[in-house]
Amino acid sequence: MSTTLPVARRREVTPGETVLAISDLRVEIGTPNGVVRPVDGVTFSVRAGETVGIVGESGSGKTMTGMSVLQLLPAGGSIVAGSIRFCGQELTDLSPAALRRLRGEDIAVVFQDPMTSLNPTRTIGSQLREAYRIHRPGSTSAEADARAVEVLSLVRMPRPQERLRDFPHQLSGGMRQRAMIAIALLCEPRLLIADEPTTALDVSIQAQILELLDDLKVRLGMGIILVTHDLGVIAGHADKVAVMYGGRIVEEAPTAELFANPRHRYTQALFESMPTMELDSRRPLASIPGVPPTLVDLPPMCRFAPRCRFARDDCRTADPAPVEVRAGHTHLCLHPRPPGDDLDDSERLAPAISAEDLRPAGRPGRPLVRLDVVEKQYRIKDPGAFRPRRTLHAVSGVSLDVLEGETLGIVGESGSGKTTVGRMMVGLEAPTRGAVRFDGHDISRLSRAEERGRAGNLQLMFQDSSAALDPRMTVADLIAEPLVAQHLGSRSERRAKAVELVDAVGLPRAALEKRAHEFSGGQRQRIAMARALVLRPKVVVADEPVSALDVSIQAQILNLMRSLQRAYSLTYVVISHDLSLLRYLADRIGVMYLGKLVELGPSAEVYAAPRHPYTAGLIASVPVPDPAAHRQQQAGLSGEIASAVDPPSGCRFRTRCPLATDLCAEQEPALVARGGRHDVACHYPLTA
Amino acid sequence: MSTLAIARAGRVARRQSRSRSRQRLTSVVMVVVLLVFLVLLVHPGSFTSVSPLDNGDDFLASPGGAHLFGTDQLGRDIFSRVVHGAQPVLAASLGGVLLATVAGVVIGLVGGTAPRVVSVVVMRVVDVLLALPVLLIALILIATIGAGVKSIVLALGVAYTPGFARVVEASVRSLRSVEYVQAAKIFGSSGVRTAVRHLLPNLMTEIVVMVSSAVGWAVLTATTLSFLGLGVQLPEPDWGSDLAAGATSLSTAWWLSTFPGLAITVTILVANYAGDWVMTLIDPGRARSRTRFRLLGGLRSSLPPAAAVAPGEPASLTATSAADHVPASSNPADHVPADVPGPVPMPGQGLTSQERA
Repeated sequence: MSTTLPVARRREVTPGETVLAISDLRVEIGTPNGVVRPVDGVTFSVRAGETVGIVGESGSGKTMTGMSVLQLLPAGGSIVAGSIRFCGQELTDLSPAALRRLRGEDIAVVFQDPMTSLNPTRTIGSQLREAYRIHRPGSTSAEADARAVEVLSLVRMPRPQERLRDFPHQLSGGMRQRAMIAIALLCEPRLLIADEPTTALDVSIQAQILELLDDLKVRLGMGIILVTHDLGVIAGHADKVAVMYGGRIVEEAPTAELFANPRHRYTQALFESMPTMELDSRRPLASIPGVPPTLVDLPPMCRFAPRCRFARDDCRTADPAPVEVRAGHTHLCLHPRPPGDDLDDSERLAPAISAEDLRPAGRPGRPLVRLDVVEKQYRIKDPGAFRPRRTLHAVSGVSLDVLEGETLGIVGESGSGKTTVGRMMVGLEAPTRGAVRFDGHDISRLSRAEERGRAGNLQLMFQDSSAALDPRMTVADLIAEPLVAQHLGSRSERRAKAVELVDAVGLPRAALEKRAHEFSGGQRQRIAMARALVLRPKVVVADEPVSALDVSIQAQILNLMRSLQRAYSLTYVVISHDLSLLRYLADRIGVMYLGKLVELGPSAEVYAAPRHPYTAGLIASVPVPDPAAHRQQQAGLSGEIASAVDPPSGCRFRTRCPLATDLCAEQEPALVARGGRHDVACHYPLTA
Repeated sequence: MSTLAIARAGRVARRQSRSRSRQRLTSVVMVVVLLVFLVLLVHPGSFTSVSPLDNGDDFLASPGGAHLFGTDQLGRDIFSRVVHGAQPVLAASLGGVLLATVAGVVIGLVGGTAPRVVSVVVMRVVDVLLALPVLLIALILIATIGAGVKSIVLALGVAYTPGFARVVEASVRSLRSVEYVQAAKIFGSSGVRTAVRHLLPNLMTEIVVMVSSAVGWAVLTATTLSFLGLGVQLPEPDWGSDLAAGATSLSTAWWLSTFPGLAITVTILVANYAGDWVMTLIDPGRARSRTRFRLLGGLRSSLPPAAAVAPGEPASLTATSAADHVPASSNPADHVPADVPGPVPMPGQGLTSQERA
């Protein structure tokens, strides 16, 4: 593999050998509020050529577990008990110098967000060289460059020699993550700790990166610790899974075994609350009530007991002891799920609202919002003095209707223009060409006075709830603000409205006097929803409503959105990159790619029988939380999304499309209805 | 919230709790000192019964005895002159900074929110004014309206407004792209309403930073101008003119200049400390919405109580990272206060060594 490594510098690792063995690890971080124990008795091991997945929500301690292997703990944190053995060597009592030698050389880390993990002021090449020369002192620049190119081609970076001179901001997200992986692999480590490596990436790129990691694992004989919150990723790429909650591993099993036969109630609840693609969209999602515990000074008890519907008294008084179900499958539950129980119906949390149809009464009606060949172009100020001004085609010729009472989902990856479409609907952007019509009236270019009227009909829920709420205003002021802006109602009336909405979204009345930063993400999203509803709009555009939330909280918010839709007769336009979410939530789905609408149809049909190759590729890339499905999964999308400044001629998807021909380059396909309500823009649509 | 956030907040809280009693002490001291300065400004007679204008018999007496700071060539008590000399200096600097703040904030808001044509013109005018040194502006103004405290106030106001306006305009521009300001637009909020309800309160931190660093410079500039004879004229007491008057006799009667000079130094130090202290009171990011105005109430723990801390998010947003999309911080209680700008380039800083006292 590498010709620059000194011969016989270290012994080769035999496949199947235990690379890392963690035993009863305890980490403590001192805070004035008490001692935080993010890792509280964790035991697992990793073998060469094996991927161990650590799954958990935020606050479960999964990241700290990964970081504590290399003792990359925050200030005030320390390992207080337990042992970490790496290839037979104990790591907890190593000197700082020895630890430094270990990091990058034998154990490497890939962090979550490549944009903040790479130095933006230095080229990729210089960062690769630095990482190499730290561990190979005395190597020349040329040797470092050669190794850098070698490792960049190992991670399938296109044109690696040119990439050496690029800065991180010049690369796309996927390429940056590949650069990060390349830096990690420079010295051929025996263990790779990947902390949510694909969370910040698009679905299609995620699939490519995960497949790359699998391939590298086999070629280099590494062990991988894959820390993630996404069960779909685990199902497809982990050999063994450890589910963490409250600082402990509550269940550990081989992947297939865990998905087929989860025993711990938390694992079961996790599975229930995921909007997988097979879910019946008429049912509410089973959400886990409450929030994960803060890991401060917890008494001996099962950490999940406060949220568990099967908890009994003994769960709250003593620490549960590990129970071994069979070889390799252990869990920490005093009243586990009986084996063989059907995961679907009997245990599902579907009490009083079991078969109730959550859709608003009546079928979707007339078109409420109409987009007529809407285009949005941004001018880019080019630093080059003599180059012609370039335009960014964010949205090019999108026409669609939003029917009254329906939930329309718009799905696309980054750069597809879906957020811009949402913003044009509510008037944050004015379309460069084309019109947005509400109820027949053109609302795309309105005067100030007319804009007031539109506010009463269309509202937006922003993606980032912490930035969408003024940090200086109390919740009562935040919710009442639209009324104040529209000069509606007296002070007491506004107060009454605020109280009413706070109740409707499920927040306690005490919340009214608090400020936004005192709430969690899910609660802030509720506040944002209450604010969006106070003017009784007819249409609510929700931009990525749950993407920043944990899975169990997502389910709560989605259920809330559903029930509010019923109560207030709303029409939703949900913009998301998450297909499984839209499969559950939306009646119709529009797929966007690079500013164009490529497919539009009923959501069940779009998933079961996608017509456009891009939709098919997207569906294939989504990690399904079912290990068996991954065996038959078709190939995902290859390549990267093209540039919106200079989009490909003809069909914009043709650069990544396996079915592209010359016709696709010459003629742009129009969105045509084929077979009823399912439209697709393709010269060679896939047939069912 | 993630463990990293808890640890970070813990670190901050550790720092804060260690100095909690220290901070209470600081608050008490600050309030007392500020009260002293307030009295100096309003009613200097409370500190000394001797009039600063009385010519006594004891010429050039050394400090000590009946005259705490000594006397000058005409037998006037230096202590009394220092006490009474605070008034014009404080009035001029505070008045000038107040004028500059109001004007700067208004111009900055206009520059940040107005349509492109208007804002470009306004900001370029501001840039031109920024290039002019304080002294030049002061000389022009004083040549027009005469010397005195009022002209210094006007000069300081005009001189500091461009710097303030630039800082405010930059902050307004970045605030405009924050989601809650855009949300206000969706609610039908007019431009002025948005500016007052959303932009101004969130500019408070920047404004306080600007003002606190400006007061120190303003005191220095005001005393410089009066040192040059452009302010209060003798025999009225004033630190700057007294400093000038005693400058020639530094070797023989050092107390003539030293005590006014010390007074200037102490005032500038107090101004800077007071600015820092007010800034810590006004930050919304910490969980102390109810302790905001309880100056002596001490800090609550900066980690919110366990019930309110309800972590619900993974460590970062998922796959919508376009080139223009910045992954947001997901830690509610770890909210970093609005970006605090660096030291404001004050016009007075451009004075050469010749012009300094």
